[in-house]
Amino acid sequence: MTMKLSALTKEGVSRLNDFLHVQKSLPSSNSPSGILEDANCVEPIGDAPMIDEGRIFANRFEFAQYMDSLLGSRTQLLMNADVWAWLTVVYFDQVCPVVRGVRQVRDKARYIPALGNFRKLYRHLLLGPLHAYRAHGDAPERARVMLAGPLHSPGELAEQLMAAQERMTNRAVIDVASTLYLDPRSGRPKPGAGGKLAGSPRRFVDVLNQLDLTYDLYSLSESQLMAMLPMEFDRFRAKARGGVDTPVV
Amino acid sequence: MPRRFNFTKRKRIRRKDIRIRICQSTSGELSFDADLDLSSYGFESLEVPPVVYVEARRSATSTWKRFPFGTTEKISPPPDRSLAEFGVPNGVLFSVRVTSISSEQPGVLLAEADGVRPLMPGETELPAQPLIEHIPAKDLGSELWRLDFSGEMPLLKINDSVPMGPDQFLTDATFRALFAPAVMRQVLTRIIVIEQTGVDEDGDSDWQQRWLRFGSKLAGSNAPKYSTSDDLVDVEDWVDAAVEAFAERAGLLRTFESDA
Repeated sequence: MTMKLSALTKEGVSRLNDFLHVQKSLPSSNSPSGILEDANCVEPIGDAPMIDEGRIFANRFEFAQYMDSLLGSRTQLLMNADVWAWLTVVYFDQVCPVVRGVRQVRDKARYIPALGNFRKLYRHLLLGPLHAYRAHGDAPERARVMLAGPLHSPGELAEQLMAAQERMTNRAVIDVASTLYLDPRSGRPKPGAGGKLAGSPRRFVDVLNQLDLTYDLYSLSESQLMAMLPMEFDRFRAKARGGVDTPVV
Repeated sequence: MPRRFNFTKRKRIRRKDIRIRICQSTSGELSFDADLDLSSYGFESLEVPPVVYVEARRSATSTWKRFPFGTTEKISPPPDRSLAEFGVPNGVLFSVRVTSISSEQPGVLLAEADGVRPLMPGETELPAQPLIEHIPAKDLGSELWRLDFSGEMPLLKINDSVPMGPDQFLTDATFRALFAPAVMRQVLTRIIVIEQTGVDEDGDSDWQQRWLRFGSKLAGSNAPKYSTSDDLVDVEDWVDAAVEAFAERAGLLRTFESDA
């Protein structure tokens, strides 16, 4: 079923906020979908596309691709937090699914965008993927490494890469991360790519921060950056080159 | 204070060689102009002229944008220097990076300047380096203000939704009397207890040293060192003395009484 893209009103955002607050302290399987049926909580927006409210997205990439094609050049909608709060309610079953009888609500910025604060903005479970996708508009497939997870769970790899704008938008950084951590056959992160040990995405970011003191990372190519990584990344590099798998802790 | 190794002999670009101004159109859109003089760093002797980038950044919001400025041989600002993503000019700092594109040293930083303060719209000269920056913020929920220490200096975030507006909240003497001592106490405690930064007689550029000197003048003595929780009483006494002296000199109680 399709419906016209809309925005939550101030009242609607307040109700969603209250819902999240209660749900966080008293988890249940309740849904905020009633907000969409209250005329005081929803307002239409001009020139809005139709969206498929029943669509199921296999991963964040698929959602970003869908929204990118729907929104096209309506870039002003990216800056409208109330639209993304409305979309959160529409797709709430996917951004906060019922697991073992309850919905585990996490920090508010995942559901209501914190515009003006990139560190929190990327955490929004719907707007974050679209930002990452559009940052690589020349080759959106490149963004898949940040968007491989399901809507409700970005994963450690995405969290690390998307925490800083200059990292998220850097082609060489994202290409190297894809080569190291993304399984090209499944399109999913490789085993061990969510850890915190040697060679992990967290260590990758630490090394990038060190290299940034000496190199202009934006000027490097993928192969130049890859060659600068220390040996601890060999276990992922070996796999990337089709070498023998080494045990992953 | 932070120290960096410099194995690649990266040069520091002097502030006098950089002049950056943030401009605001009548419709409120932000952009910037930059005048760079890189003629005295010896880049002309390099076979391949290095490339120049200017980056704008606001650490508290992690907003960042990069602009190619040509080469050291021919500096050419891009036509689009919009800073629309930053919303307001407050808290925006710039970096200038000179990068090698030679095959021997690809991507090596040859020179840089970090944390360059721009002239703000309406300013003709850079004011004295402030102790704190401020910015209207949308992410404070029901809090009126919050300090952010993630950037190059403390940032006072004022809730964008305060009824009188962030600017009036900051400048109104009555409101200042209420929040300024708390801000000062939090900054000094952060420096001494959390960051455990001590007085460095040579450190004149980082914000921690400037705050410690400010506090020392007010308290009449240098800040005590914090090593263990046993030192906490001394630290609290020193911070109290500095904040009390500040409140006295600024006449906060008198201001509050006359406005009440």
